[in-house]
Amino acid sequence: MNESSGDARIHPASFRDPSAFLFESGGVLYRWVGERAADDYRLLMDSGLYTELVEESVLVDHEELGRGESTALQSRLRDKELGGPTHVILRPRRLPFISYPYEWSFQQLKHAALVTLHIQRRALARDLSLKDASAYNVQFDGVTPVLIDTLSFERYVDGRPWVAYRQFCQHFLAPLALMAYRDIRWGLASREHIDGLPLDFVAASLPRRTRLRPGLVMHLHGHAASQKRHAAAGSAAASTSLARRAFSRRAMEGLLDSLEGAVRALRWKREDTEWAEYYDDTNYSGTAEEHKARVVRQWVGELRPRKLWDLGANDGRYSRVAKEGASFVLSADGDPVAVDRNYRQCRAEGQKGILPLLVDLFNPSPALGWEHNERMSLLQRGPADMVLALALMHHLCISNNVSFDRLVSFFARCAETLLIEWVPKGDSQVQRLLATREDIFDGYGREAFENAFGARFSLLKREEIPESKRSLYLYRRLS
Amino acid sequence: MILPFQRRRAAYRNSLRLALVVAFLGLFPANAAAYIDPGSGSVMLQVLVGGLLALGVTLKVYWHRVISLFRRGGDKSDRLDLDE
Repeated sequence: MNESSGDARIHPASFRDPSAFLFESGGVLYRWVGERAADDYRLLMDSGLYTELVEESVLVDHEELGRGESTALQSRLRDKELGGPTHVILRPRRLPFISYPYEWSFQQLKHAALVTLHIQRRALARDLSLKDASAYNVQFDGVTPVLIDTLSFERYVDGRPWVAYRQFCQHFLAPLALMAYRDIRWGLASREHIDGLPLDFVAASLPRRTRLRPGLVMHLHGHAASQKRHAAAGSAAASTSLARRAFSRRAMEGLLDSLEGAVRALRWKREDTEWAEYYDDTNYSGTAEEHKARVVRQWVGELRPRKLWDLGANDGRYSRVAKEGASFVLSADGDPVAVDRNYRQCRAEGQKGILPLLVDLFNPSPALGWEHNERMSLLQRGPADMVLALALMHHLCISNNVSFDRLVSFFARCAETLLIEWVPKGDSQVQRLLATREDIFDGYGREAFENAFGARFSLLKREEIPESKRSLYLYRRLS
Repeated sequence: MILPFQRRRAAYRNSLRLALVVAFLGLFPANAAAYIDPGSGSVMLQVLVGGLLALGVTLKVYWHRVISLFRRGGDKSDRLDLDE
């Protein structure tokens, strides 16, 4: 949010559609809907589709502003930024954290894909159609995927193919297929290609056996070949041909069936990665673990943060404990297995307000897109009210050679309060990290740790964890 | 343990599938010099396979009608089921 116009700021990622855009004023998010988008918007509302999708919890809800409030807000937007006369201004329910497809686990991306197809099916039944199938239009409300772009709907025209088909394949099916058939880390390729993975690149990267899968043959291999074939012919040839051969409603239903089948058939054969089995392999006794959970519960409960970031959350064990006292918990970890397991478990338990997310603290998500403004970096999406850094600091300091001062600087940017676990050199996990490398960490000691944090934070509480060499510290950032 | 005749049968099945796929891909002769215009290629693919997809839905509809004769309760197939 850095494009300013008076008191209202247009969302920097919301510049492509001149008939509707997001803006912020007074810390509240709004969506401007111009007269050009009025017909489609009214159709969404009057057809009953909006109510149906909101009741199913697959579309974010909003309220329409009254004339007085709407006029006051319009005066804060420059006329030239309005793409014509105003139809209505909406106030959508704001989610506590915006996440991106390259930060989702396999299952999260798969669920976002299935929700998109489900919404298109529902829309079709009421003579509407999605004009976008961008993965960025789906967000996670805790562990529930919801469409956030209310203006993605248009009137369905019988005989017209799905305009969002290419985008769906590039944003969802392509990365999922690469993750399932090649390697889970292919998910990060979406970070490089923010309008979805190019299909020729995907088709060339998939193993030969995917050519035996009808869904993948049609939507990825055949699709890539068709793009190549018709690139030179251009859209003129396409439209001439279209005039002769219509794409029936039943064909559209078949396309959705086929895409859903292709998505559902993709499964990720999970492999054990480094930290997935961490909790089965720590030096914690039952007593130590219970004590640690009790302290986390108590301290978070006293501070009652609205937004808490649990960094290095692994499978989210302590995120669940922290959630008892926090309104929202970002449960972030760098291991895709742990994030996937966390997501599945949260859904199975019916957890609300916990968002498992793939975050590599050694290289967190950068700012991306036009003018580095379309997708925010991790820190731009902060600050949180509180950070939980349990069993984390030795990974940052010893595996990644980060000094205490740099650690303090990072946490001070993340949140006002910090609950951090001190892990001394004598700890078996630290010894394990040092086993294969030279110990160059002479400064890694409790006194240096306390001095470094004491320079930017004031100590609120400290607690030793029994039957371990570790301690918990609760800090508040100095103003 | 996989017996030789099972391997042969699997190989036969795979080659049959491969032949169908090659026939399908043969509809799109590669044009390496072309610039990428994803819009028209995506539209053309849908038009090309539209009939087949529609036929699939028609068969599914009839199949569900047959199934519903033997099954009590409504059709729940349109509900969103993420955690299968």
